[in-house]
Amino acid sequence: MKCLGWRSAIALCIVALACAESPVEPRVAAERDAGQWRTWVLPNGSAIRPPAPPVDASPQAMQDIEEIIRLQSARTAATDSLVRYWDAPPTARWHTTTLDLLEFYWALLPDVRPATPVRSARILALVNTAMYDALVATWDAKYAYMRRAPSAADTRVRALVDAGGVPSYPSEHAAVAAAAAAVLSYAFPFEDTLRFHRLERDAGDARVIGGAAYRSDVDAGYAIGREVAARVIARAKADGSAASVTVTPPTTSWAWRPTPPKWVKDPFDPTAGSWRTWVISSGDALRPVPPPLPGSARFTTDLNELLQIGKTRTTAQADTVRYWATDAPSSRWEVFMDDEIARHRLGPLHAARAMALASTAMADALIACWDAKFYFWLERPISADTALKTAISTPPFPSYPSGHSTQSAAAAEVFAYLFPDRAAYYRQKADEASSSRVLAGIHYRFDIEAGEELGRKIGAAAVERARSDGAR
Amino acid sequence: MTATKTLAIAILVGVWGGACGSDAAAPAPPDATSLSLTLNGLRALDPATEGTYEAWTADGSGQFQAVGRFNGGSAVELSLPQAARGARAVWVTVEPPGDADDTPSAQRLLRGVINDARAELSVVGAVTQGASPLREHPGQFTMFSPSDNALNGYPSHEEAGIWLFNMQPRQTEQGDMWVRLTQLEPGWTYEGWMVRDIGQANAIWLSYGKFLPDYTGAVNSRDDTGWGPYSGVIDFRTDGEEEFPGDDWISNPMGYALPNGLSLPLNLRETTSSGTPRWTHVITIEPVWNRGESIGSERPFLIRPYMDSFGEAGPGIPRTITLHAENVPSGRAELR
Repeated sequence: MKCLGWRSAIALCIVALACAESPVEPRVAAERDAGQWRTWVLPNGSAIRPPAPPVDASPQAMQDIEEIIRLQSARTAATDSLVRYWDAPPTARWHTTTLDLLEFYWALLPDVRPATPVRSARILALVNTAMYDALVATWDAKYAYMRRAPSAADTRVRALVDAGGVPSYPSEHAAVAAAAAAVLSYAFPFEDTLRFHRLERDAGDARVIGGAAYRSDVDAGYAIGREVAARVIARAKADGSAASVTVTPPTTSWAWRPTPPKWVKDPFDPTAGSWRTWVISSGDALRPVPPPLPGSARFTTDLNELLQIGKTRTTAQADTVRYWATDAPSSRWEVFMDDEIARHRLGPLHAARAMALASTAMADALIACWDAKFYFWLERPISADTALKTAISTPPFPSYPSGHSTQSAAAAEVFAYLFPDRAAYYRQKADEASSSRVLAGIHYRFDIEAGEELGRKIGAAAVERARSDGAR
Repeated sequence: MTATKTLAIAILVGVWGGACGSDAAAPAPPDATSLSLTLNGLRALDPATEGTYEAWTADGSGQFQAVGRFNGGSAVELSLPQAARGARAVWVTVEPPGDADDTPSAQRLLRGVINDARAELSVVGAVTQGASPLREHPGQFTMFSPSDNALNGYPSHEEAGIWLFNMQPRQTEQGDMWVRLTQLEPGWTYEGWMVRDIGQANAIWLSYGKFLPDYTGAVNSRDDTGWGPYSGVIDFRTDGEEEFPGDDWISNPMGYALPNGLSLPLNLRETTSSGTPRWTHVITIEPVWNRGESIGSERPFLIRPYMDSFGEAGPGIPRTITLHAENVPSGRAELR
């Protein structure tokens, strides 16, 4: 009996472990109605519904089937590798590609500026909303037409990948690929944009070879993706970010001026506060109260705090500073998002929704932050006291409020809503991001406090939108 | 596991074990009369420019006793002075040219704690601070010419620049942009090089400057020859400072004579006619007395822990800094 008890216990443990470790089906059932979810640039999910797919056994359908059979019979290691690479959530590869590009251009600052903090956030919002809207439109059509996947329709077709348990027409991988490739080509015109379109083609081909989609599914997906991208790009072109304006800082003694070591004269994106927003009405809608000025008790206290930190900064504190100073802050949060999508095994629509919600909140956070920065034009701590020892170089734009604090607080609120089991963790992460700027000696404490308050308001606005977007 | 990797780990594990703690191991046998050194990587020095090696013992209170000078080699036998008997540790230093005093220089090269009449000698605790070994994974170096992008747009002459920062931080151990290097004892400094045709008689060692990590180990400031005639930014007289060691070999505002007919802008992706990359990135550890070397006269010292072919990858493709423990001096001392 004792022995049996042990065996039972071991068996239970094994079962428990197996359950914990085994893949869980994405929440596809909860996404069945995703075609009705609220969109960002499309009026609704059915606005660009494609014509019906070829009916089963029609000449076009048979031609599609024969193509898959032909491709599968000619498989090579290279094509199998391609199929495996794209056997991932439709947004995953594009999200990584976007982050890699932003990481690259972050290192080129301040000489080359497509990935300033506010521009990085803008690009992520554009890519993520495009992918989300493309998926919503795809889901609308999928459940309007209910086409079976090729491997389910013809036993000669092998299912080399999981088709996701959803109707095959249009292909979600193709729709996302076309949307993302077009938006990335717009955002990075100096890149090898053909590379994006090769990836787009690969994504579609991989799903056909894998038996998950017909060629007509892929073509319809491409059409949806391109249409969504055209609308996202039209919005982007009119969002105010293209304006090239040279600004002159105020001449008051406490106004921002270039800082060492590079003494960059032109601050980053001085008019970003007027760019079009996503979840708040405008960049100045939540403008914080004016900052304390030099000579005030609060200013002196906060500056003295930085001087003291400069003398006692530990290795661990310096590492925290550097962690948050590497990449735009939005990129850090986007990586957290990837982790949470995997941890919660979100289906493709929920994943895309989460990415779009967080990135639009972060984009608005920086727009609002930049509005305040260039409204108040407050000098950086290193300008207020040149004896200050900073851990990293001071970025070339005004101090108040902190961009890291604003953006991270906004992101944390969205994360807390989307992943309530991790709310405390992400709020702590936001605190860490925020504090890192004081530890660095590049922001006053009142900068980060104002940023946190502003960010939380923007996060709340994003959550408010999420509550009524139709997703379950 | 490759032989190189095995050797590297063996050396690091060995030196770590040997270097941890104080020099309070079992003392040398009281009747020992000779010090036998088996050495790796101690090439002969030029006494006029590089100085000479000297072996020392140290007692439990850290008092040094000179044992003898030598000029490299793999096996060295020295008589052990009476005063050195009962020593707790063995050291090898590099004494600067012209040095004649009886105190060890700041260029302490090898150190080992005596245990059972033997000491495993390593750079840990001699060249590096405390018990810290040279980092196995410092980060990345990047082909890049930041200073002319604002002028010429991007990309400009990316193949003419080398910079020490992590271009793809997520691929690194530390997850940020800053390379991490082990902190060195005051007698030493790191120096970065691009080497054309390394290993050949006509190799060109082109220094991009000397640098030290900060107190956290991060490499976060320009190299100290960054204002040299053709190093650093496009024109050191007018341009701002960079935040990482490295050079843009683009311009030569002072008309400095380049070695062996090199011309600017350099092409660090240059290959031989058979397609072999010609340039290698090397980080050496140098005695600080070389800190004031005039531009163009720099020469590499024998501690060359990091060495990587530059390759043909484009700008932004990270190149990983690789530890080559076989290029770091080591040895064993026996007291007989």
